[in-house]
Amino acid sequence: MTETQETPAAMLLLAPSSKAADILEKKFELRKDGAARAVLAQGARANEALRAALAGGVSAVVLISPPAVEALDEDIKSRLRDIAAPILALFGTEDSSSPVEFGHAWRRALPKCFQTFVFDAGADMANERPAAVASLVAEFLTLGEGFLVNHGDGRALP
Amino acid sequence: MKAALFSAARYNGPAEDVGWPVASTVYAAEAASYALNIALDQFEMADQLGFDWVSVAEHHYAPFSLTPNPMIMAGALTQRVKRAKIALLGASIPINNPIRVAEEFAMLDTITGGRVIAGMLRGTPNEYVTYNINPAESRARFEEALKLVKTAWTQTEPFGWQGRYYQYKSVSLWPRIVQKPHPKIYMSGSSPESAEFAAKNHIGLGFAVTSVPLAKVAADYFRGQCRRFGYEPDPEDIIYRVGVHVAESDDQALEDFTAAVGAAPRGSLTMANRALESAVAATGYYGRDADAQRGRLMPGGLRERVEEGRILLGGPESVLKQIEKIRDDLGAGVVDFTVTHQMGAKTNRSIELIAEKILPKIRGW
Repeated sequence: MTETQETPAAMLLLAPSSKAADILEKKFELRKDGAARAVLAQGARANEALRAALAGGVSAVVLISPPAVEALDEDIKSRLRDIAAPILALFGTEDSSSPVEFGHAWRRALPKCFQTFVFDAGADMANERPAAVASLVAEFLTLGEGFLVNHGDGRALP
Repeated sequence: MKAALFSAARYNGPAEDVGWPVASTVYAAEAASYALNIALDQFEMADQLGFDWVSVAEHHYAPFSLTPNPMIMAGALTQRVKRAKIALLGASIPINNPIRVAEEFAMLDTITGGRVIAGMLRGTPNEYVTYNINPAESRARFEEALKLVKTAWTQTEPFGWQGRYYQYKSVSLWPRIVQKPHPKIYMSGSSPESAEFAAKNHIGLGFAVTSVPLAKVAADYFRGQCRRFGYEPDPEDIIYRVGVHVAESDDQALEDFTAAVGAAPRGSLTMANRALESAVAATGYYGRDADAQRGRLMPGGLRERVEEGRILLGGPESVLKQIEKIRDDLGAGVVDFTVTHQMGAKTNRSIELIAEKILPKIRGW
């Protein structure tokens, strides 16, 4: 997201309800269907999120425990390079169904994919470490690619 | 059995040496320079004499050992030690930036062509004061930092890390580690919790500041845990770091060592400040067997220390018998011979005697 883009007010939630979603709901409108400029998808629903991104109008995609790139639907797999929106892909360090090793292929297929490893979490990271997931997602939605830069107040005693 | 040399770079100049941290108001720069440079000389000598490893350590705020950053010592060693492996025993990862540690290991491994051994330690209890880290977080920080370091070593695409204690948005190491998948990792293993973690994660154990009887209990427990987690450790998975002084005879060794201990600043660490140690203990730092852990840090008399294998002292034949006990009781595959008190030419002779009279025998064990 560039400086001229606005923080998405609404996010399409292609994932089960979770403690992380509860936290995010305080900052963003979460929709279970319809259109939104940000999409969060869990597991195989990454296909739907990427399809929405390919359709345009999406400025940020968050994927939690996405499948292996090679396991994506064929129509998505062949068009990955056409996706303009930055993607935050979260992998739990204890997730055997979507291990951190999947991140490599995501990075190679999508240069704008930011792989992040959520320590001590499995596929249910949105409930296991809700604050860790929600804070990162909120930062990504707010700052886009700029989330790489720390915007926090580093003073221990302001 | 393999042999390592650890010359601890102990400062022998003037010092008030009260408690910990130790004030440096009374201090001689030339004594500090001597301590570090003679240690480098002795590491080089050990390399030339056939020691398998040289090792360094991290300690802070005391004359006990002048290597608060062991990576700098190891960096200097890359230019002096041409054959032996360089063992960092260790880097105290819970009190440092783990990514910085991973980068430094990668530099050392690259310069040496893959001769680095990666000890990842929690550090001594007092050292949680050094960089203001809560000792109650020590074990959790250690476990996360270790996973992060291993991830940084093995990932080739930039990655972010959303941990409990550490957060990074984008990490991509240059240079990369040479050894694949990564250098051999050791951790300190005196507590049951450490033995369980090491067995589960297939990590070697290092024992230091302990006795053979205490280390035997811990090593036996580690082996039991290894069976539980399906890991078959080899002897090299256990390092015993122990102070040493070898002379031509038992009497000479005792005379040398007694004089050196008497002349040196006391320079101890955790137990030099009992109030601070108690405060660290109260946070739960030591874990389930706190009494045993605290007991092993207590200073003892010289005779008792020799009997318990807290120090190897004597002529070559006596020291060989003491090492036999380390082999038999612990199954240790690496003895990390430690120069705790610098005696110049006498220490050099001690290193030569180890190389000439002890190494050829223990190598076949």
